[in-house]
Amino acid sequence: MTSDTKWWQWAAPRLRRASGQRMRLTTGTWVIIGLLLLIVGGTALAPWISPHSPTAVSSALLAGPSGQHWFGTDNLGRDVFSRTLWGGRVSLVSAALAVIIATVVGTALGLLAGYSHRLVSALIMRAMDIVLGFPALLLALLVLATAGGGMLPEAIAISLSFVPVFTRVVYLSSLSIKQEGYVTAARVAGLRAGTIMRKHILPGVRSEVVVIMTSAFGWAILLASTLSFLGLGVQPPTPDWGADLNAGQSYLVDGWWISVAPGAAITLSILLVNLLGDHLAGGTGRRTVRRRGTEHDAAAALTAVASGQGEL
Amino acid sequence: MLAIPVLLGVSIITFATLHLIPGDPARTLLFGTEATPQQVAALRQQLGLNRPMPVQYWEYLDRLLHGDLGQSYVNQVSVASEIAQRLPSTIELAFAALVVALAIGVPAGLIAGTRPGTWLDRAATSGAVLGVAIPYFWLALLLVLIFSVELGLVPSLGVGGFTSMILPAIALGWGFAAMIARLLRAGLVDVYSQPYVAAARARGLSDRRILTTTVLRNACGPMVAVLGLQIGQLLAGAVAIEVIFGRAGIGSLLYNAISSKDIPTVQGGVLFLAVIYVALNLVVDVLKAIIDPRTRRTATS
Repeated sequence: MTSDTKWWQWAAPRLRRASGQRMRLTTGTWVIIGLLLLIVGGTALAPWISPHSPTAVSSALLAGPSGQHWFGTDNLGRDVFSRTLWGGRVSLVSAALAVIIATVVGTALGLLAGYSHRLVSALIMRAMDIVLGFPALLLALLVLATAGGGMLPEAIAISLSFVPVFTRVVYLSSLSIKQEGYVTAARVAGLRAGTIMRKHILPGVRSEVVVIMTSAFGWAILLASTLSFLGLGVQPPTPDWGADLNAGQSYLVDGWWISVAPGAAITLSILLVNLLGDHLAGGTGRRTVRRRGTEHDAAAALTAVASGQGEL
Repeated sequence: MLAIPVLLGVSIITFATLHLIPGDPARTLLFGTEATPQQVAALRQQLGLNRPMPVQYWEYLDRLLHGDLGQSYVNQVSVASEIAQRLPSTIELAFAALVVALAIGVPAGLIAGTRPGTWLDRAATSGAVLGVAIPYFWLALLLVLIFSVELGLVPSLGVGGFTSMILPAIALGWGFAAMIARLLRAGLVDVYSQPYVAAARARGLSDRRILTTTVLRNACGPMVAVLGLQIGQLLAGAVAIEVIFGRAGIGSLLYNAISSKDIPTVQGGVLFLAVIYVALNLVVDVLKAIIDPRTRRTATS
């Protein structure tokens, strides 16, 4: 964070493996994708498949798991299974939105920094250092506490801390791509800078960007559910994993299922997304290409972001 | 040493959050109260909101440098003194979590990294993958459920003695331990494939000697680097953990301030933690240069 070398502590084994490789999908990858689709599908189809309304109260207060209520009921007699199905809607969508925003903004800034005049790139990269000066959760808290909640503000607040990650990876990759003969050829041929960035540099950083996207998604789910656990997401009657987990905290003794169900849903989502990231990046042939001297330091980096907990 | 520009930038962002959001900052501060236009005008005057933005920022910075983080909007207490009072509790928690993380992560990473492909490695690696996926606030609840509610071994909340520290420290340190294990393993596997390790083997050095003299030092780089970034996680994670375990630290101060829309306290708390975060990263940079002299050249340039 104090200099550009710092980034090399960020770039991870999976990033190194990913660079310049075609992605291969194995059976294991398809199993993970299938399970993820099950979660996403269950969440998306909740209005049609959930056995009860997520907000309908009943007289069965704090009833344990049974045939009637698979995951039991909460303190108001609401069906926990139905709430768990519904509860991913806000977290998953705002996490996905956050990753998309960060990808677009971060990649654009990274390309710009990589191809522009030194002054512009210094300006961009220093600004990124500053954003990285905040732990991600605190930055999101600051923004949401002052600007107020809602799905879009939440997604933007989460994306803020991801932008520098994309920018740095794209910036460093594009610096080396810029040296390639075909870029020089394109410049000599009189192509505009924007065209060169889009047509010649962007394809070269694509696989890295995809790896960070999958990595960032797990992290974004964690951040989104942390925010709603802290009461900054959706408001009470609406089912939400983080918020329900918080509500279940008061009923650990009488109804452990209230907090266990949404917690397991969050864990499973993050786990699957991380595993997918590993699989997508994990071309088994270890590439021994050492592009820049300190490649071994690179081993550190992205796993942090990658595994969903880079920094909260 | 880019720490100073970063700190300046951090202060600009905290300053800007109040001014960039739509609407009058004075009204935002008076949110939820029945303020008359006169009260709003008085507050604007008091906060100096009628002056140009750069002047306001300069005064804000001047106050910061004098250790003045403003006053809580809820109880008029100075934010700086509130933070000072709660700081020891948060430091205690973060330190305990760090100890847990190192005590679990380093042995696990060593075991996995020195025998890649074995069942021990697979167990440690899967444990790390799972450890990273579990949200720490859920882990905290699970720990309370198992060890306090079911087994009754440790108190579930409050501050008092060593036992009340165990669960919060594990909950907060667990994910960090998983990260350390994973990075240490990756570092070890990477270093073991280097020619100089083969050369050391060829010279007949024992495995233990190779590990302690050459491998370990080189394999630690990635781990130490992430240490700094992860400390941010410990500080931020303290928010949820302190709330769950009812600890009066900076995290729970932030949480309460957010629920009561006490913006000066939110800003002060976040700024304070960000400054600590930047400072700790500086320490980690120095540590890294000590462990791996190759990074010195780039770090000072």
